[in-house]
Amino acid sequence: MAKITRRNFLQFSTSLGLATGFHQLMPIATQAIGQGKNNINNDPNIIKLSISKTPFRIGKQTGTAVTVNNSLPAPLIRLKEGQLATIQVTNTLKEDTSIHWHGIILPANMDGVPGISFAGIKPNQTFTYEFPVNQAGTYWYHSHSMLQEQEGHLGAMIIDPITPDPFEYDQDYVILLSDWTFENPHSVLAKLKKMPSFYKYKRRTIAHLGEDWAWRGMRMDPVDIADVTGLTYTYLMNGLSPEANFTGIFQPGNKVRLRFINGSAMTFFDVRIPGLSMTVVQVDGQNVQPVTVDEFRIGAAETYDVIVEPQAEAYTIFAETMDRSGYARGTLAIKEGMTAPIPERRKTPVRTMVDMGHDHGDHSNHSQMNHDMPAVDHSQMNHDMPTVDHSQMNHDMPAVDHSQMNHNTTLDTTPVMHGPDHHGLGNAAVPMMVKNRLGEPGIGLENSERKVLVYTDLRSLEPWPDQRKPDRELELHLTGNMERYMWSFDSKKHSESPEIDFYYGERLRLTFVNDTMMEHPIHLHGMWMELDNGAGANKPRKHTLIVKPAEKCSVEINVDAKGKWAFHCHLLYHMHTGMMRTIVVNT
Amino acid sequence: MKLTKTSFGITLLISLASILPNQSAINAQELNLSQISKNIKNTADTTPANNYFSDQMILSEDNNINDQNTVGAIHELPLLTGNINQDINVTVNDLLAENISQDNHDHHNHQDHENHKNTSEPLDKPNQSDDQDHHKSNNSDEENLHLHFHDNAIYSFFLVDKFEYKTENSLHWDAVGWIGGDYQRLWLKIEGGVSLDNRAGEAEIQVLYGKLISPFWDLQLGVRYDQHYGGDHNPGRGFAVLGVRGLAPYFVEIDTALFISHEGDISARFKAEYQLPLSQKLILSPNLETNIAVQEVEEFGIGSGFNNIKLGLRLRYEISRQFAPYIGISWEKLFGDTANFAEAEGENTDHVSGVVGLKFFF
Repeated sequence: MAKITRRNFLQFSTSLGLATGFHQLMPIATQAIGQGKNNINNDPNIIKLSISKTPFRIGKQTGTAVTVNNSLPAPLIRLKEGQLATIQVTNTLKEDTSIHWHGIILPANMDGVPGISFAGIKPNQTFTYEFPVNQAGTYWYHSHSMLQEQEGHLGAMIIDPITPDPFEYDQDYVILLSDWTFENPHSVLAKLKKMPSFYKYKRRTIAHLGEDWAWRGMRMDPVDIADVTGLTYTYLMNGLSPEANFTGIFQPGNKVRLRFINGSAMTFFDVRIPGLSMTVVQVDGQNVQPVTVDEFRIGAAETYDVIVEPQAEAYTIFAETMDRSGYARGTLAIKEGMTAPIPERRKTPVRTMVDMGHDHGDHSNHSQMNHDMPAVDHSQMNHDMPTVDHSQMNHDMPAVDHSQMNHNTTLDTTPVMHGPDHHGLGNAAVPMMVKNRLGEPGIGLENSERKVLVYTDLRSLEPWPDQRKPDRELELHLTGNMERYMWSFDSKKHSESPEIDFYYGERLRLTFVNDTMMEHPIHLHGMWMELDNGAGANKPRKHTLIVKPAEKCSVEINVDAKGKWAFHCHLLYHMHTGMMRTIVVNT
Repeated sequence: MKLTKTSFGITLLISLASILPNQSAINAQELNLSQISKNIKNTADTTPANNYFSDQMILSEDNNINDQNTVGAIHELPLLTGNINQDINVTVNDLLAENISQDNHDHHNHQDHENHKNTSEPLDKPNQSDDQDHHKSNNSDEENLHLHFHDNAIYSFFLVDKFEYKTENSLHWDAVGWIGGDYQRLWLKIEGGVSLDNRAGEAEIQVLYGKLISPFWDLQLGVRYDQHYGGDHNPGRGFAVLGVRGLAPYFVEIDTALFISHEGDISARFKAEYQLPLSQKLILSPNLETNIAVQEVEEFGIGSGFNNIKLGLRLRYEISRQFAPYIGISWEKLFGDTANFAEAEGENTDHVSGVVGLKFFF
């Protein structure tokens, strides 16, 4: 065993990073070096990345991954705020590739989305990304071509700030979570198209027929949690399976910064470190007022930076999937080779009537509620479902504990009726009631004895300079038809409704209404979404936001980036089957 | 692995050589090694005082980051750093054309605004349409971006729903497949049976165009052809088909259609099936089928009115979602003239059989 001190760490790790790929190195094919640039071959400021197919082994099974510099996850790219980033990407695959820098504000032609930002990187071609780095924090990068992100083309990016972080820490680790399947992802998608419930974990049996009766009447499944599950996935932490056990070594008494990144294709993880509370200091790379929690949910593409102060010898870093079909796991320990117990697995949660859009608000009002709802003529709605008999529904929900709620908000969580527009064939059903659910922890985390992070806990460290009221509002419905595994916005796939216009200079209020029964992590390229979570002037900035089933919530966007930007659900197979738009920002 | 300075140097040399654009074999002289190592030292020196990295990083024997066999392999991911280069190349400046105001910079900077004094002048955000020179150094066809949509791809499915042996000593099959997109598909349905006693049987095939008319329902239009075989008289006939297939509330799978034969004889069929998981792998599946005919068609043993009713109950075990053997029972009763025609042929008009078969799809 060799010990590396900080002084020669960088020298060592650089060579290590390259040496690790060495014996798996495939010859880089003839590449077209960028023209018009001096010193590009020998300029040490250029980051050089090569995309190729590399064997990838977990335990006894070997598959083929799409890797960057022969490593999965891709190498950590560390930049400094204020620099000019120059990243040269060579494609040695037989198909096009691309790299999108997730969460980075940059020129539209550097955003890396084929067909929107640029033409993509053809086989044997080299593309040089160049953009000024005007932000700091934890981000990540991944392919935006085909299903390569699922094949392992993803990595972490850290941008060190010019002024030091407003929080202290002694050590720093990236915790990059991902999902790996030995199946060809195109075959996974084909199976979802043939049988959307193919990978469903723990389907409902005859034992639950009575409870599920109302669901079945609506052709809905109360355990519709995740489309692709532990039945095919191995969940990785920094590229290592739970058995391989990524280990972060800490020195007792140190504060450790953990940069959690969810680089998965289809997975929501619930992260906790039993025995250790975590202080959330950054979300999506942006400073937030510190909030200490025991557990947080991280959706695909989100990042959370936490500070922990470990006291004991070893802790398990536990990231259980939202549907409880598997977990990613690592260890935080004082020395190599230690492990801590893996916590007891939780049961697959079941959807509630709120997810279905049948929450009629505070239960004390039930007696006053007029279920006939004369204001809305249901007979004219094409509900495609039998009249809902409320008397048979199980409305018993556990008492809401107001003492744990963050009440310093002006967030309106009153349920509102969904409008009459059903949106069409691409939408299986609409929830009757939608409401703001930013203050809820999410399915499977309700009524936890632990403190779970909710979106209403997030407040940006400083108020943003632009506090204009929005100029206009745009409402987008998140829609889907599970029977045909079609996902869309307003019931239209990307191919059916390619573009949405944003106007340069406006402040836009974008309202999401999730008509589906699943959570979607919605991602906007190129611009920040300021989440209207009741924090007023301190709205937190997000590049990716989880919108819960039957939720209606809003973000505000300063439209200050010209060009075309991708906007989509970050669940890879949802994006690929239509849940995407091109945002066009013109003057 | 014990690291000495020499082995470290060699590793560094070889690995750096392999990653730089270098078509030939490793040639140390082609590398500007001193420049590279100087760069690395610079980076180490500029690392801020608060230590971002773990003071100690312990490596295991096997440095293969992709080999999962070793517990606790690499603790820190491989590092690539772009250095701050105060001396920006002039050609790069030319490529970054447009200035944006300081106000816009503020929107992107998560810290507060004094930081801008550290950024060099040329680091302004370029406008994509002005970036002509930049385009030339990369792809030349960026102006005419063609967006390929992946969401209207063609998929296919073929399900052999029943492929079974019936205890009345016959074989039966019932399969369906489609190929197409999300709204329009071409469907193929085949169904048939053969008696193992006398090798006589009948088979039908339908080819249909299906269009999604509501989220759960497909309207299907096409043709059907029936053929009897193995007997003394083997008639065949064709039909036009108009049907609806989909999922009714409570997850009842429905397939119903109206048929008009080439002779103008009208008939209809109704099929319903339900899946009831008893456990994660054991699924009970009841099904029902009934046929009605308007006109009597003696040649095919069809009477006017209700022809038959079939009820089945099959229990399958899903070895995988795609492959399940099953056992079950099947009951069929014939009515009216259909029953009479059958009796005249010496066939059963009300019979129960056991079935054993396979259900699979691909």
